[in-house]
Amino acid sequence: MDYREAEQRAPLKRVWKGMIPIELQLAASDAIELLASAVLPEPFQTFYMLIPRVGYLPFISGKIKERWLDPMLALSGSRTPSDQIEESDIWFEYKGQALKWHYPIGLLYDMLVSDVHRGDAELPWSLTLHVRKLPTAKIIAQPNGQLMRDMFMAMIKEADFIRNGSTKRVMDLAKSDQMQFLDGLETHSYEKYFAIHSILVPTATIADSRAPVSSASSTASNAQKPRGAMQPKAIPVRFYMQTAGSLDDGSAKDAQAAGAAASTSGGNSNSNAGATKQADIMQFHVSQVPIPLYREGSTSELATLADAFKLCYGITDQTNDAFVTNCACISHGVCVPWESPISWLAEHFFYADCFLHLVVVSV
Amino acid sequence: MDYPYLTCREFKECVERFVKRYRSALEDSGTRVEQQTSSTGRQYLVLQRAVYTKRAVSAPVHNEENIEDDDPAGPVPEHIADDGTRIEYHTVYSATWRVPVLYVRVVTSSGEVVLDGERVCDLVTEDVEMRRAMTAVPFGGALGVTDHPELGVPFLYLHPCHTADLLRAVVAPPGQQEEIGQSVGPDEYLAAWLSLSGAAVGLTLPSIGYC
Repeated sequence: MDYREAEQRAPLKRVWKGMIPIELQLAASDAIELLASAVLPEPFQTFYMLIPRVGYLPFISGKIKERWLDPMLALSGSRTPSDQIEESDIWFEYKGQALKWHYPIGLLYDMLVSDVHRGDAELPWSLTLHVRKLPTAKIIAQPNGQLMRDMFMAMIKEADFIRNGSTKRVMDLAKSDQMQFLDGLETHSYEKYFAIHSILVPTATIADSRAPVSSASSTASNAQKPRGAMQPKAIPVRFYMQTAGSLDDGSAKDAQAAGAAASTSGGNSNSNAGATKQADIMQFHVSQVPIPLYREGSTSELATLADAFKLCYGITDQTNDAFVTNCACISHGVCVPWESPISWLAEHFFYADCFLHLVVVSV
Repeated sequence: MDYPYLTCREFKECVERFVKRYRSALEDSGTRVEQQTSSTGRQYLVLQRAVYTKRAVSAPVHNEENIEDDDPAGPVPEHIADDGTRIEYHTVYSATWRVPVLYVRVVTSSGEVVLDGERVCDLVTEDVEMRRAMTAVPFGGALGVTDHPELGVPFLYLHPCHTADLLRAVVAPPGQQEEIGQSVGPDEYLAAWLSLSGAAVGLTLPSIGYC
């Protein structure tokens, strides 16, 4: 690998290696059931772990059980500690909210923890672990490794379809390559994962692949066309926009209106300078639209993050840019400049499922 | 229309036309029809009906004096019962696949949501070949589980990229499949699509008279 390639890969490697320290406590009701006491034995009261942002909660449940729960039960005199808890019983809660375990860990953090965009967010991330009564109305039941792998591969297929117009690349993967890909994900191995990722997404070197500079928006329009064999038809992108109401009770504020409101100088009705209301996962509207590499009607002007947002939320007035001031876009814990070319983000800022997951909050 | 692909706007039109044409026939057959608008202003279609569960009825108890009249090999009759279990079918547009995607969930009378794909198939997918084809689909089968794109809560869904695989399990004479595409416009798109996809999860459409 020459120095240019290494330099190009550097942001990607940093993204892949991003970790979040978590601090776990066992739910009091579960402690009482398992140990007849809400207070755990001294060394087991809190469990700390570093978990990968690009990973998924079901892949860490096994370690948590092995290193914390089973020893805890054994110490308390349980004869069959490993039988009392199934991995698929384990679920996580943050400030009263069950975490959607099929979302990447870093995405959950960026959505739910306040002030990530200010660089002042809670660390370690304090979570409650439950081993009983998974709320099946809120989160998908039976979180386990196999189901997680199936759901992950469904996202990979979808990303393949968006980029290439077919799922051929994924479906043509040799079984051993597919196993290595999943193994790389589960064990958080950069080498194993990217060896197969490069088959699914052959690198198209885009000439102007310098990191976006926040001042000059003209860097996007001056970029040369991508060279290399594979130019994707579109980029897989998901926006998670914080709205006022809740999605499932029918009383949600129209997210399109929220997007439009974000575009006015008044800002999102959620915003309140200085006050950081706890984010509710059900209040995030998820929008998924394939984003073309170039602006509409152009073959040289690269589409920006702002363009992608407008496409997703149906903002047709091209001069309407107030959301750029009123909202921040967060991914991998970083505030992403609105003028970033989608092409650059597509090469360096994707999650393991090949999607860009972008959280939009008001500032 | 770039059949079989739709734009979001075309999908909305297809939903409206479908509801107009099929609502009364569906409601006559016990299926509730609702055209929903999500918080983002997007349209989707909801069909809801009872799930008739088979319940075994125990054989009548014989008086011991008449024991020679017992027929131990006699069949146990089954009742088809409406125990309040409901199935919902949500047809939601996908910007990725540019076709509708079918989301399904079963809710019992006690409010329990059934999201086990196998259990739902047991309840509603009658065709054995269909069930076999669904299980054979890689990465967990044709019925996956995910969050409903508009409601944000868990639902089963039919993997859209494998709709074609399922269609092959539904016997169609060779050479006739292409003809279906050519004659389907916005009036009949959703009916055609639902007839093909819905068969996998027990959804059948009543025939309507043509004027």
